[in-house]
Amino acid sequence: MTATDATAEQAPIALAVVGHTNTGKTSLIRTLLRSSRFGAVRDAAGTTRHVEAATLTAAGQAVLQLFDTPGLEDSIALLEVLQALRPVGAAAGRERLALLLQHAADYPDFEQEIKVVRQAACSDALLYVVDIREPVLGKYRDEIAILSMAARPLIPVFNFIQSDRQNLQRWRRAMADFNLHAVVEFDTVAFDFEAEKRLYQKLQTVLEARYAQLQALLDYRRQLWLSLQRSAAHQVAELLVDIASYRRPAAAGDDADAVLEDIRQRVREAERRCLLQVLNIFEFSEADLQHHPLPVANGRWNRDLFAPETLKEFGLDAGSAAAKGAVVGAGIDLMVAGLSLGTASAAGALIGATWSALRRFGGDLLARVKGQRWYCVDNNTAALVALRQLQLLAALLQRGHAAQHKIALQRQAPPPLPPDWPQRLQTMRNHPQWSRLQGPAQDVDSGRSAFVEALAAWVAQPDKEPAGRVSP
Amino acid sequence: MEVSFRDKLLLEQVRAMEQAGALRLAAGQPAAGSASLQQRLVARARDAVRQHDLQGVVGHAAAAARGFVLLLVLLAAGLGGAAVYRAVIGDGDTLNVYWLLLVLLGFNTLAMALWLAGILLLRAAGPGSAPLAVLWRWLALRLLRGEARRVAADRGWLRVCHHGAAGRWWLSSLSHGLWLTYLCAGSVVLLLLLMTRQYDFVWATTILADHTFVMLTGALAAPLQLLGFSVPDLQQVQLSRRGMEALAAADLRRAWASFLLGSLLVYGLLPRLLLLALCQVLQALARRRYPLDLTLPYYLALQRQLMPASYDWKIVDPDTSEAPSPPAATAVFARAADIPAQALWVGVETVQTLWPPAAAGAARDLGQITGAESLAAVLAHLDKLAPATLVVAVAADRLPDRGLKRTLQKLCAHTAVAGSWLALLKAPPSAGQPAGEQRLDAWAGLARRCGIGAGRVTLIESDCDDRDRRHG
Repeated sequence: MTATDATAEQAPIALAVVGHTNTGKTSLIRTLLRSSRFGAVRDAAGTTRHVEAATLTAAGQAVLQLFDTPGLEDSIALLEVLQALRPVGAAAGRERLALLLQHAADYPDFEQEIKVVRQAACSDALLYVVDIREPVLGKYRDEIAILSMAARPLIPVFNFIQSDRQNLQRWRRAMADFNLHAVVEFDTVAFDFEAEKRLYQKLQTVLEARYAQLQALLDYRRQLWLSLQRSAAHQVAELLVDIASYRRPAAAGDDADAVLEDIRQRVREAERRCLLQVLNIFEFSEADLQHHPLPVANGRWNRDLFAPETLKEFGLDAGSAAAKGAVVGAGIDLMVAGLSLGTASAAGALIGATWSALRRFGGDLLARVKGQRWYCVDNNTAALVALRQLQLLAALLQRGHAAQHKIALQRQAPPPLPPDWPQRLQTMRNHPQWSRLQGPAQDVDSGRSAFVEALAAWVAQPDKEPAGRVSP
Repeated sequence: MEVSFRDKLLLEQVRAMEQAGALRLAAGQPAAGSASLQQRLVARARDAVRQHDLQGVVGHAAAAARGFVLLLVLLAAGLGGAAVYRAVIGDGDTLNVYWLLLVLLGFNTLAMALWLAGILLLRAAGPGSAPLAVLWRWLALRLLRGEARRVAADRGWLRVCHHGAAGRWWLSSLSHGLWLTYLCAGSVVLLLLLMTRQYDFVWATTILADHTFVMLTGALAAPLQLLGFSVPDLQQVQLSRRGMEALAAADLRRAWASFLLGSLLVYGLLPRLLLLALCQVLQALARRRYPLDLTLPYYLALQRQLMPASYDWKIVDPDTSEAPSPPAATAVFARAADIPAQALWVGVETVQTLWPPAAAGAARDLGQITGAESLAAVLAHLDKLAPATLVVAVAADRLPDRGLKRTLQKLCAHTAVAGSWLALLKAPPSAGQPAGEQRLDAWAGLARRCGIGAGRVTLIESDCDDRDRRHG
């Protein structure tokens, strides 16, 4: 039998999530499940009253069974009861717990606690969730004392770590007093994949025999997470290309306002579609959004793309024609159109050097001769769409399916656009056939897909170095 | 595990149909087992084909393309034959060797050079096969009409087979195949003509030197000789100069005919045949490497259905008792000034920042209860005191749990306690901490259950910013 066969046939690891009431046990499981539909979360004691289970899979194999337990509330009294128990023979913790479970009916006050103890006794490991905003109280020590009796690996999970680093140090010291050194920092409200990775890695250290299983889970979930990121970045890149490359010829008899409103409507609609797609990719439901500090509601941005305040919020110039959202382009700079061929291929993307691009180039020349003018989406709007989407992605990557109340994140100034944005914008501008704002393109331009690919990589990893803000 | 190109094609066709809204499939059922996502997708697509009788729909584009290719092949054969026939018949009984070669091979060589330039410089089958591409696009547009489901399937087929690398090599193969047909037909017609008629071969020039042709013939003939073709020798070439009519020797004619056929074969058919084989190989490779983009939102959604990251959510240990009723309506608090001046004060699990409150003088401060030992100590201390009012102070933003309730009950029930108060100490609001009106209500409810009347619960807001932020 090979190692993989052995892994495949192993039963899933049973992991009980335990802790004091209202520390975020259900939230932790929700975050691991990426779903806010699991269990109930409320800012009150004893919200979870059942033991609930969910199974995590890796490539179709059940790997980890998570058990959500009711909160421990009266550990002090329970510990006294346990210490008073006199099991026959060895008086180790396990025997005491077994005796308690045998006579569970005698302790109606501890119904919830007994559920926890029962689950802990039949799990492979315990995650002890700590709200580090709490002081280290006697009742918490007693909880650990009770849980230790189950003789299972116990990993403290520090929740709400964003609040205060001092508290964290105190809790770390307190855990060290119990010889618990393998601890995990895992904020269920603002979380990134690294924290989840560390959680599984800690499990690997205490469940050595299940190392391969947990590694498979970790690899699978990492790959899943990366594909979500790639997928979302791709959607954003498509949106940017659709908007920035859009161009509509202006005819003499046009009602300019009507045309502009039509373009605005198309841009809004495209942005909204992208937003829905991205939220969908990250499995963010309407319920999640209510607790999230994103300016999004009902699948829409709270603030209209073309409102002047939106521009100001992102530090863009709200003056002049910019606020109108679309400008009549004064022809297309043929020199730049020509140059973009060179810069693009230097950037590694195969741009425009296709038959259709050559044809289009001729069209531009003709339009130039005829004095043709165009409507296109102006630089500010394109920059704004890019900034908003980048901000959305950044926020969603720091996801939490567990947020209970709107967390007051510091309102950061949105990051500036990377310095190579103008070149990219120019390339898009020079390829009006790439835009699908007017409807799906009949034939797929291979240059478009290559450019979208490159732009998606850029969206996923925008230039991190603090370059000066680029005026678009 | 990788799936074959045919299966990927099927997946993309089903995707096109589903995304166009032309095909609605029931949600996939997650199945246990080690099948990869791709395999599960293929199984689902095959089921769809079976259930909805889609065999004809998904095969339509390929069949249409085959018909189109057959038509082109017949056309190419006709053109090739006709071109040679016209060139040979038109000149009477004397054939100009080089003119004939130019007619037979010139365009072919030019097209080949253009194709090569396109592939090398533009990475597209490009201008060399541009007429073909235009023709193909016309057919594609013809294809994309009619029943919605078929159109969607055809669109999917076009996207997979005729874009990207696979499409490039397909178009190249088609172009080489058609030229090969053209040349084959030409060769056959030429052979038939040479077999059934007698021609004299000449060459002529007005502005070129004679020795140019002699040298050219020598150069072209060398490879043919290697392959065993009989070719005219130097003397024969010179004899064939127009105006030197001393020729008409049978072996001279045969030598020229052999040279002509050999040239056609070596400089026309053979390169095309090799290029066709090469492009076929590259096409097969490109198809095998066809990148199925599983990060598309469509596939991500299917992955969630077919291979959910978690499953089997269930309650394993249900709570049978009645859920605690939510706290009653908004609590009304007494004024802190109403607390008797001689009351004793005890803190229960308050943080150090809040303890002791200003109202509790040092003499009447019984200290803090943080666990079993300190509770016992306070109770022992109370034993020694005369009956007095006891004010139990708690942190307002902590959540009351059953353990606290028991502690409170123990304190209130002590013989030395002649009436008790509950004081909620409220820290100044800080970021990250929930304000928690609900929590105040929960505390009021707890006081009621412990026998502390509504008139004896008070809220003390502290402004202890200047205090040392040390914690218990």
